[in-house]
Amino acid sequence: MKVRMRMILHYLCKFILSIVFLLLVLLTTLRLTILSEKYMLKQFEKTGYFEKLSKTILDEMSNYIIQSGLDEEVLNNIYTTDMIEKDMHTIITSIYRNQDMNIDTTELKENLENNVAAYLEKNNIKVADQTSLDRFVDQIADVYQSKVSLSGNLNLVKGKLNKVITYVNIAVIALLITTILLSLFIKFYLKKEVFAIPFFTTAFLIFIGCYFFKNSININNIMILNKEISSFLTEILSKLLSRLNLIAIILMIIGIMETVILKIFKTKK
Amino acid sequence: MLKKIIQIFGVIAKQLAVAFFFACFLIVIINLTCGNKIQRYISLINMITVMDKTGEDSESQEISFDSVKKKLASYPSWGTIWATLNIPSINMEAPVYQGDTLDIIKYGIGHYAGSYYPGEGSTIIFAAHNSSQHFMRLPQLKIGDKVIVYASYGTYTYEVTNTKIIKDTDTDSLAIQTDKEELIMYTCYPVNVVGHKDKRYVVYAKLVGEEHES
Repeated sequence: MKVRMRMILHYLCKFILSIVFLLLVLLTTLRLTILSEKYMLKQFEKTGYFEKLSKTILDEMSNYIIQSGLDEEVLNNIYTTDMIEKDMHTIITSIYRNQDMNIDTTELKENLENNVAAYLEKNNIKVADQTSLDRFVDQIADVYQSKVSLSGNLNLVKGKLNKVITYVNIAVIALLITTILLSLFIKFYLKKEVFAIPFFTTAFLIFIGCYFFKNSININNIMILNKEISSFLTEILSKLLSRLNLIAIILMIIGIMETVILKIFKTKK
Repeated sequence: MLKKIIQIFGVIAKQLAVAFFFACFLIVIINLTCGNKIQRYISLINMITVMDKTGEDSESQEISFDSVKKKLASYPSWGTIWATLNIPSINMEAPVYQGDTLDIIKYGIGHYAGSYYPGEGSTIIFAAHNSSQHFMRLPQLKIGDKVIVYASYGTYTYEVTNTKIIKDTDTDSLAIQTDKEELIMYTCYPVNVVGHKDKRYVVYAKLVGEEHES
């Protein structure tokens, strides 16, 4: 009876440990990827987001050029990819640290005003209404600000993201403590090997989960906010799935190695 | 040695079987407790899919007209060309796109999706930039000038009845009416001023002739 009870307890502990492992793997992966400021900034750079956004901003600005009576040449070099990168850094930092979000468009406005002045002089055009010109400059600056800050939509996640990161950190610590306690209990009280079954279970669940996710969600067609951010998210999601699959494979290998090493060690004893 | 290897394989197989059972058991629990919610979220995520057809490559789209109900039987997709606008007096001909966002009117005339279509007996609103290919010469139109819309389901001829300069915030002048067919075309104004334009030049035209495709 006692042996049977120990056996039930053993499998129950392993089952709980499997769930704890799964949560630990998922939350740690999230914490090190989407919830990491450094990772996201690196990904923005790696996926060429700034270059893509630069083209989109120019495209959007050119919509206002047609109606302004000016030529597209006035938009030449009014902003640079480095400027976008710097502003995106400010935005991402402010989101992850819950700080105020400020995009300074003074330089862009100055560059645009200089270009417009040069264009007007070159074509001998006299401005009758300076207010129209000032409003045009403001409009172009607004396009830049709105595109870089994703029309202020990032403000929606600003306060929340900070809280989520705190909760995830707490959860990871709690799960780590639970893992240690359960492992010690299985190892020293139940006198059984600890990791193989939980690792295998976690790996199976990750494989099945990734397969289900890939087959039920059309990642490549997701459209959120704009094309650039959508393709960025698509790449991030694909990377996340590949990373999880890799973790599952590693867990499988560690599980097998633990069993093999323990068996060899036991036989030698 | 071989016996030992077989023994190890046996243990691993047993562990894998237990792990697989655990995984399946957990999936069943998740499915029973929040399966519906997961399905709902997946459907929602899959719904966030937008086909971007806007641009120079947008193909002309055939649409059909129900002449009994005086209504379109099928509507054009967003960003596609569904008609050609011709104004002989100012020598202008340009494609008409579905939608009037800045992205769309970059390529041609934009049809305000909230307005009606030629033949439906209500207000049709067209917007375009004041560029040379589009509505730059709209202020040159005189009362009585002809405006022709060649849609895939018919040809509609309008006659200019009125012109107006309005503030960009004046939406009353672009109100949609259902008691008479009227084509409203507008562009930014003044045409020859550089910078932001806070006025609109509006042309009103009434339906004077229609030919349906058989």
